[in-house]
Amino acid sequence: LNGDTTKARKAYQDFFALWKDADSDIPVLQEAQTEYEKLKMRDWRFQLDKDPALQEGSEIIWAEAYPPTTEELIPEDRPEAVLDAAAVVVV
Amino acid sequence: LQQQIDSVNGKPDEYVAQGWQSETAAFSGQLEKAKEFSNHAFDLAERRNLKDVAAQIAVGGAGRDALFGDCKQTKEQTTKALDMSRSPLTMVNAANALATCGDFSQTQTIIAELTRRSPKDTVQNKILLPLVQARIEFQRGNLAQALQLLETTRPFEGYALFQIAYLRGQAYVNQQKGPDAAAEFQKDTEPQRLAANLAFILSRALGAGAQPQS
Repeated sequence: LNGDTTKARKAYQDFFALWKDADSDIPVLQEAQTEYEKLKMRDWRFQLDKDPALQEGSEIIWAEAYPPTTEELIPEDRPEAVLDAAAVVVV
Repeated sequence: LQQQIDSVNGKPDEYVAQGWQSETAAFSGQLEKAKEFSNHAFDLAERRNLKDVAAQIAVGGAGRDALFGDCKQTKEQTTKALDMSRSPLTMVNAANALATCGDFSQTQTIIAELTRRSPKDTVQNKILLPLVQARIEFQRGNLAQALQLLETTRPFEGYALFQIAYLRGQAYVNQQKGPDAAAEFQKDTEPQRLAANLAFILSRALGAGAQPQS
């Protein structure tokens, strides 16, 4: 919430270390894992925007690491986005 | 901890050690293990006919299960506890667990009964019940109201700092107020450190080998 993603990542990592032997079906743990993945994706996007050198080939890595959901591929208000998604796959 | 556990094993208050192990397991996210230990603690207390103790163990488990999101278990444990004891502490903890799981009707019934029974109990009426009511408002999404209810506890919050600060922090998170939430969650660290160091000093005095917290 404060925008300090480095601190946030560290806090998640500390929590996962503390709960390394935790029951895997605990909702709060699953939520934390989802939030952590989102945070990592956000950081990845941020780095890409900052550093054009990273952009080369990054879409393929990105697509492999985080396959887009249908909603992301075809937002209701932007049906033409399906073409962008196809372009990612072609690259 | 193992030394302390071994020292009470087989003794009349063995349930205490089972309780410690339950809390330790819960702290590490091992809910099933925590339940096993607290069920064993409950059985040991019940076998000795320590009804209030057994009820408090059950309701303590209910509070833990509620925070872990296991509301079916919370309901079972609170029913078991309230069937054994209607002591104020058992009832307050039951209300807190039930409120966390969204059972507002039974929670309000408990609040009404406790208020009627002890209208002048400061700890109950200025701290514990406002905390339960704040939990209800939080669960309903009335964050401002939850925070307002927690204000009444402020002069006394040393009594239940962890629970108050934790709920206030949760409310701030849901209001997207990051710095305020962080301040609340970090409030806990100092008393915890002091408590840990006190435990260290005590364990040194008793000849055990705990480590101080930095």
